[in-house]
Amino acid sequence: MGETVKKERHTKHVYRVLIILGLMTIVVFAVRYVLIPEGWGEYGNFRTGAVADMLEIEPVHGRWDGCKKCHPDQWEAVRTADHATLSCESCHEPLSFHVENGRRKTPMPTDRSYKLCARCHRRIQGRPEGFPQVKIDDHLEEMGGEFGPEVCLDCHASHAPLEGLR
Amino acid sequence: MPDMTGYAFPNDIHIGWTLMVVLYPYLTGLVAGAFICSSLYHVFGRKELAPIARISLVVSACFLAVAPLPLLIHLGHPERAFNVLITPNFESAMAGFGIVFGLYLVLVMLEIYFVFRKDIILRARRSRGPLRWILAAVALFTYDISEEALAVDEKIVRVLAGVGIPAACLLHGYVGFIFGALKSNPWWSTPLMPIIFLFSAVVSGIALLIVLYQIAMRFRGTPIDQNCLRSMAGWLWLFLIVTFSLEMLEVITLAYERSEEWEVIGYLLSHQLSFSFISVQVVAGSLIPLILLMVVVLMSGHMKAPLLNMLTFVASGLLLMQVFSMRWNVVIGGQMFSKSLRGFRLDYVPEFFEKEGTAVAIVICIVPFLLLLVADRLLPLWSQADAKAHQDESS
Ligand code: HEC
Ligand code: HEC
Ligand code: HEC
Ligand code: HEC
Repeated sequence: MGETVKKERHTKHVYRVLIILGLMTIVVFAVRYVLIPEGWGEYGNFRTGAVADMLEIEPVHGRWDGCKKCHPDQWEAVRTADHATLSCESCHEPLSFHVENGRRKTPMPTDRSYKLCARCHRRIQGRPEGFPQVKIDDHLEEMGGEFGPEVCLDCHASHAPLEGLR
Repeated sequence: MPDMTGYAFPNDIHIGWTLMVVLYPYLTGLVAGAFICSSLYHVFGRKELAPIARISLVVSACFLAVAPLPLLIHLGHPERAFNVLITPNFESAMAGFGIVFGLYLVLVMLEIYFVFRKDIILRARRSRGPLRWILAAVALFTYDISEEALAVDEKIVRVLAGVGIPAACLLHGYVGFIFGALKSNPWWSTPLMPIIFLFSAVVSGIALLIVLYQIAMRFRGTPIDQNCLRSMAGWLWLFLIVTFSLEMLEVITLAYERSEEWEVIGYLLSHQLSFSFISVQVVAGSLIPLILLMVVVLMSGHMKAPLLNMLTFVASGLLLMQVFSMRWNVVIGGQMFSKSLRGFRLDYVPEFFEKEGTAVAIVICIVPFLLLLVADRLLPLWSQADAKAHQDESS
């Protein structure tokens, strides 16, 4: 290779690299151009069609009284007790996991762990003063409970926590 | 379930930025550090670093390849990652990531290409069948490895490495900026943050190269180039001094000012982070390597090479840990106290098997080394003779 007679510039490969870089740049911008969704940027950094798309999405959660029709007993129990203000889905999974076309599709999982209750009732000073909160260790000691993963349900009924004290 | 003390809000319980977000700045730090180390040779002409000049670039590329992984795992929906490139919203600093990362990737690949072009061509000549064609395509179908062509390559590499230094600083300074610019969090919000990240990145990069170099030489049965290792130890020491001073200055300033943030930060450092900050980051991770490297640098004339090598190796291992713990203390520490500045979360231990857990982190950290092994089969990353030849050409 070295014995070329004519004086060469020896930069052929560099130009080829530059050409490839140029092509890559063009491809990047072309791909970007193609991929920018329709309606993007009309009103700022936002795709106008997004709202319409959102409306198409099937809701995962049911209505506030979405469980009432099929579970009137539980509905009654919850609505007349301390957890009256809670939606069923704040402790259970969303309706659509369980029901499809008005029929039960899959069993509704229930979280019986103390973590469910702790999510709302563990003492955290930032919560409103009047909200019922317990320091879990102290509460169990006071009430004579033995800590375990489902300990809260030993005494409290989930749907009517004070009324159903066991 | 995590316990809170003091006046905390319910949404302070969650550590939103998990182990993955600790890993991300660690990996990009190694990328930037290894790159800057290679630039010491290519730009600043530290000829004694020739043995690691090539590997450091490849290390940089291998870690760069996995750097986005922790983020993708953390955020989920990896298919949406490209949106930030297609329709970035520059009001958010994070929109810059894709672009900074992309440009840096191109730069590193180009530099690797020009450094290894000769080896690619030699290899193409030796190969048969489809591999020959692939390599020929990679060589862009010109097999010009004349003196002049290589000299041109050398010049280009210098320019690329020169441009690469600010690019590496940008890539990693930007990561520090993401934290430094969060004014709601007093443990993060300081203009020093990008600089601290940058310097500790260089520390981790050099430390990794020292560890890799010594292990690889042992496996290959090649003697360690003492000049190279001594020089790396020197640079490591220098960058460690700067990093450690900056890290301490930041804390000392906060402590001395005794503004309201110190109420939480002081408590944090002496309680939740007492192990990972005081024991790991400061004592085991900074002070001990500082002394070890000082011994290596100042007293090298009085000691035998194997001992010096071992001291350097130990110091580098500790520093790799130091930088990780620094990332941990920044990222996790910043989420351990309440935004009320009056309450705390008591601890955070990632689970082993969870989406962003320890097992995933370990796998992510192993991948770059596997990539390195693959690269080692394809290209002469180490060979002394090769590096020598390389050195002779450039001088
Ligand atoms: C405070 C949280 C909470 C709320 C609110 C709640 N549930 Fe439950 N629910 C539970 C728990 C926990 C169990 C499991 C109880 C057990 O196994 O002893 C359960 C069990 C059930 C069961 C299984 C049968 C049974 O009675 O044990 C049904 C059906 C049910 N819930 C329906 C509802 C409906 C309908 C509502 C809304 C009106 C509702 N739940 C609201 C926590 C809740
Ligand atoms: C279309 C009727 C229907 C609706 C609506 C409905 N369920 Fe059910 N659910 C059932 C049937 C049927 C069963 C199984 C029979 C039983 O245990 O009573 C069941 C069982 C359950 C169980 C026990 C575990 C299981 O799946 O066997 C729970 C818990 C439960 N439902 C919760 C809910 C909650 C919470 C809602 C509202 C979000 C709800 N269900 C809405 C029909 C319904
Ligand atoms: C989604 C949040 C939420 C969850 C989960 C929850 N609760 Fe409640 N709980 C409430 C609310 C809201 C009240 C009503 C507070 C009020 O009356 O001001 C309440 C009231 C109570 C009360 C009555 C306190 C009083 O003094 O009136 C008890 C006891 C209780 N819950 C126990 C439990 C137990 C046990 C669990 C777990 C099975 C649980 N809660 C899960 C929100 C929750
Ligand atoms: C050994 C039985 C027992 C166990 C176990 C138990 N509790 Fe209670 N809990 C009680 C009794 C009894 C009361 C009513 C105390 C009263 O009215 O003063 C109560 C009251 C409460 C209240 C209302 C406190 C208030 O100040 O209004 C909350 C909230 C509560 N419990 C949550 C829990 C949670 C969460 C768990 C699980 C970690 C749990 N409890 C476990 C017996 C128990």
